[in-house]
Amino acid sequence: MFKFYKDVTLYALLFTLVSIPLAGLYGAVMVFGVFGTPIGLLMFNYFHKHEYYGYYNRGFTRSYLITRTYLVTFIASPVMLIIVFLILKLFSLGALKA
Amino acid sequence: MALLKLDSISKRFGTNQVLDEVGFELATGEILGVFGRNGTGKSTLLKILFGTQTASSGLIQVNETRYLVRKTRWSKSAVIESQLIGYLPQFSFLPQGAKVWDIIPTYLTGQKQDLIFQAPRIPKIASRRVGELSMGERRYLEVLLLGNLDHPFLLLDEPFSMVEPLFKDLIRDFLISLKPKKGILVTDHYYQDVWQLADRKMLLKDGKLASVEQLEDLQKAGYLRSIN
Repeated sequence: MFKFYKDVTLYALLFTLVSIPLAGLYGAVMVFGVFGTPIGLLMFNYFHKHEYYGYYNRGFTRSYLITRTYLVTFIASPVMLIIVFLILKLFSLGALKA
Repeated sequence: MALLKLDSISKRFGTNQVLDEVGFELATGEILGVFGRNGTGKSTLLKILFGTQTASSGLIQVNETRYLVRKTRWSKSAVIESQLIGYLPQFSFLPQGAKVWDIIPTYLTGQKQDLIFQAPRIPKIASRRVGELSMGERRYLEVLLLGNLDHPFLLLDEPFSMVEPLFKDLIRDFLISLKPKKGILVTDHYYQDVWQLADRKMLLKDGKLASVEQLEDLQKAGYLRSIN
């Protein structure tokens, strides 16, 4: 199950990184939370579709995998948002200047 | 002993009735061989049974528990959740970039991992990536992984295809060792391997599944041109 989450999230993060110039840092975190998982799943379906059978054999249905992945990403997004806020705040206070 | 029963499985692709009220029984302790020409619906039957393919009708029963076949893509895959049936698809389902010793713990825990790590030929390939394995090594690893899971029934779609003789023997020996605790269904165009392994044989033709007793029956049904 963790490998599935890792694979999907990797694609989601790549998409998020690409979206930073357009959406900004805060916007990119929102993109990750809302669109990251669907994009990651599309990429997983394209590159790793056959691997679903390994999960099926261990009792994980596709809907279970997708729901859990979406849930974890959705919960992780506010945490990321707080981290981005703190980093930007520290920059603005000069704490992270070289 | 566990018993798997299939009743009235029907499947149509457009106007082509691939499976027409197909049914059979499989008990733990036996190996059932299913033969059939390309496009007769062998893989479709296995996928319906496993729950990854929809069917227009049919009932799957394991002991006293009944499961309706999935009629739409959105129906629940109750068979997958039950973990009563394992399925080896025709294609490789292992992540190509992962190393063998990293994959084994994702399928089995504790001492059960040793069943695979100590299996013949596995120590030699344990440090390699799946994508670097030969067809035989990969297929053997896949059969070992699925065979050591707890499903009482195992469906194998072409376990011998394109596999070198050495690994064919290893797969055959492993399946025979599993027989006391599992019911196994095997289908493969390498019919001699299946014929030797199976206790009971069936032929799928024109949407119907029928028992076959002798190789001559396969010839009469048009599956074989001649018997070597």
